[in-house]
Amino acid sequence: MTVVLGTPVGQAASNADISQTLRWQAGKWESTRGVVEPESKGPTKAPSLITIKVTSAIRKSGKRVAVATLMGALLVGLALGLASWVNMRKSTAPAPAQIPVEMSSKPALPNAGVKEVDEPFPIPPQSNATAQESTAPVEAIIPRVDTAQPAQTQVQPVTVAKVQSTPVPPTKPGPKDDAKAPVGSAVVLDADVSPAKPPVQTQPSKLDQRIEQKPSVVTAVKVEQKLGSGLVAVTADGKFGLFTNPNTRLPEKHSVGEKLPNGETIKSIDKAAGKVVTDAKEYRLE
Amino acid sequence: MQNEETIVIDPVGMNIVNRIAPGTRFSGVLECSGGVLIQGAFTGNLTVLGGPLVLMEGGTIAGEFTCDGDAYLFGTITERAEGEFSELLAGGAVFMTETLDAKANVTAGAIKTYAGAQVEGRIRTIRKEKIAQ
Repeated sequence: MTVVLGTPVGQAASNADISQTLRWQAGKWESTRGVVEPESKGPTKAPSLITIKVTSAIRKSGKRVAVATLMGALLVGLALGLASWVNMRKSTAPAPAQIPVEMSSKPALPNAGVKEVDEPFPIPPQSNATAQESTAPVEAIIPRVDTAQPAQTQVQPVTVAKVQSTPVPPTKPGPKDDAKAPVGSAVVLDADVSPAKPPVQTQPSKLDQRIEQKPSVVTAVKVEQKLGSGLVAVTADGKFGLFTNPNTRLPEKHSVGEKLPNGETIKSIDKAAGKVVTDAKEYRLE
Repeated sequence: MQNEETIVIDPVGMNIVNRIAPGTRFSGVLECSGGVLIQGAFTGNLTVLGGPLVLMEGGTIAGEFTCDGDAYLFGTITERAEGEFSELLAGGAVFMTETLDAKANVTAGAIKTYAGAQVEGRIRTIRKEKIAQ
């Protein structure tokens, strides 16, 4: 057990407690001159060491050297700065004017080093003619929206997609094929749309809805039966039956004469047959 | 609190094997082999050898006390008779702590006082070998 002694009195717990002017050490009071030590006022002996004084000339030359080095450093810095500034001007001026012009006028060339990720086939060298013709079928991809006939609008893009999915070899360009299948143009296909099968079922049939609903009802009933207030177990002595509480879904013990969660009273428990009889019905082990 | 000191009373480490528990009263002569921890009331002659004398806060002693080790005084030392102070003789150091209230003559090898201690009586310091004699 730790017990507090208190604040010590008359004991040097730390040096701060001691007076700075009355500290006795080594036979004298500190911070004062000793009486025994005499003050030496006589002439000091000549030192045996040779001392060399720094002359004024040496000092001046040293200054000159320092100034020269500073000037040199400044000049070097200025030169580097000018060079970097000139480089910056050269690099920044022409670049923004050239890039947009090149992109719009010329199509992608195989030697340009630019890859189009959406393209499935390599671009042939004779692609200039095909590229010009591809402008027409590209417009056909865009579906025309007719408010009077909305069903047709859904079909139009599908037919175009069909033609494009077939692999057209670039070495045999036909006039009809080029019109229908624009080689070299990128087409974005949705993952859900399958080009082989057009989407016929826009609305699920009523029969399908009924089929979907029925099994869900059946499964719900089955689940309820499994989790309902059924008899789960009977104790070894035959005095208690374990029933699942439908509200909490936890098993509960009930003996003869007790009420189940559903309100029924247990009349008898038959351990051998594995059944419990209540006033309403009979439960068998699940 | 400025430079407040504490001490750990370790019965095992300090060989305190005798104890007068709170509420316990003893009157008579008691010789302890090993230290003694007094939390109750003691009246009489007490001799402690081989351990410290620890008078805890709330403990009360009166009479003559001899200890060859240290004495930690946290409690109360009353007069052994009307107008007659108790006597405490310790070979080691006597710790007069802030909660001490003593009417006793104290003779010890060393005295350690703490602010708040109330001691009425004569205080002497003496060398340990003289105490042994």
